[in-house]
Amino acid sequence: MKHKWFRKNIIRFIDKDLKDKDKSFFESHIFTCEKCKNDYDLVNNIVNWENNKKRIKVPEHLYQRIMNTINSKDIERKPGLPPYYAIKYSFVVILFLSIVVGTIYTNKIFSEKKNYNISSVVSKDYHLSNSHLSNLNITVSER
Amino acid sequence: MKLLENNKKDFSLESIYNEYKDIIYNLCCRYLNNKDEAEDACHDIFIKIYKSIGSFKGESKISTWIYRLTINHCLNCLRRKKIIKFITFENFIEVEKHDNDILNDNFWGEYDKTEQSKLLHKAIEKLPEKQKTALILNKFEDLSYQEIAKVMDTTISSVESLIFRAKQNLSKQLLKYLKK
Repeated sequence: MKHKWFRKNIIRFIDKDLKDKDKSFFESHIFTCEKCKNDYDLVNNIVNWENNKKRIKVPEHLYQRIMNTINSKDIERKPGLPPYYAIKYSFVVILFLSIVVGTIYTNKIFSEKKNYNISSVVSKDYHLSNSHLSNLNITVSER
Repeated sequence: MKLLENNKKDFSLESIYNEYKDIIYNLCCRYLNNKDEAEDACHDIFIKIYKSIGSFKGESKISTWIYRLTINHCLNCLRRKKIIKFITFENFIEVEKHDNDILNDNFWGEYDKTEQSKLLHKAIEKLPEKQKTALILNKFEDLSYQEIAKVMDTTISSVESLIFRAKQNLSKQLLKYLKK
């Protein structure tokens, strides 16, 4: 467990991020564990932030390339929407969607009610069987 | 006050280009690890800046806005690359090749010949997106935790924890490569 912790925190030790207690444990562990010391040396050899800060030179033709694109495509600049516009438009979209969904839902309910017919209503309300219904000679029709 | 300071500044594309070209190009290189892709990304970012400089409200520093735009664009490029790789089955075909090429086929290798540098960049590349962003901004761009928090639109404590985890994962990743 302590070896695992040691290996995980090598860069934090190099960057002097460890608390005093952890730091002293780290330092003492280097002297007692040969394997962890080797790992520390390997990582310490690689992690050198300053050496990796070098800037790469930007290609000289890049600015011309950008300007060519801008001129050829005649790109329009966005004026930038203030936030109240965003709120306003989202409210309109939500309202429109709720109207559409509401209309579909109510139409569905009414279309379901149209399917009721006399035989189903009579059989349900008066607990009549199919033979009773045929004796009564009820013709099936829409309500 | 910040708004006034920003309004006074010259926001022409040329002045922005001269001031931020190095930062943008180098960030693109660090994220994409490929010269041509970095140049294309840099080009697209400047077009985006040109198009949307009008929507910049001046509530934050322009550098923060540019950092955010650059990072988002690079992350989108990486995500697109991953999807293309997945669709074309490149992932399955080139898994072994990619692992073997860690020390050879690397843009940073062309630039900085040291093996250490190549390894470090490859290990950083493997970090999760947010950890990688926080670490790059802190270690290579020298941004403070507060500035990183503004760029990443998060709190200082979460930046601290991202860098904490990034360093731990980087240690593990480096040891993994070194022991291969």
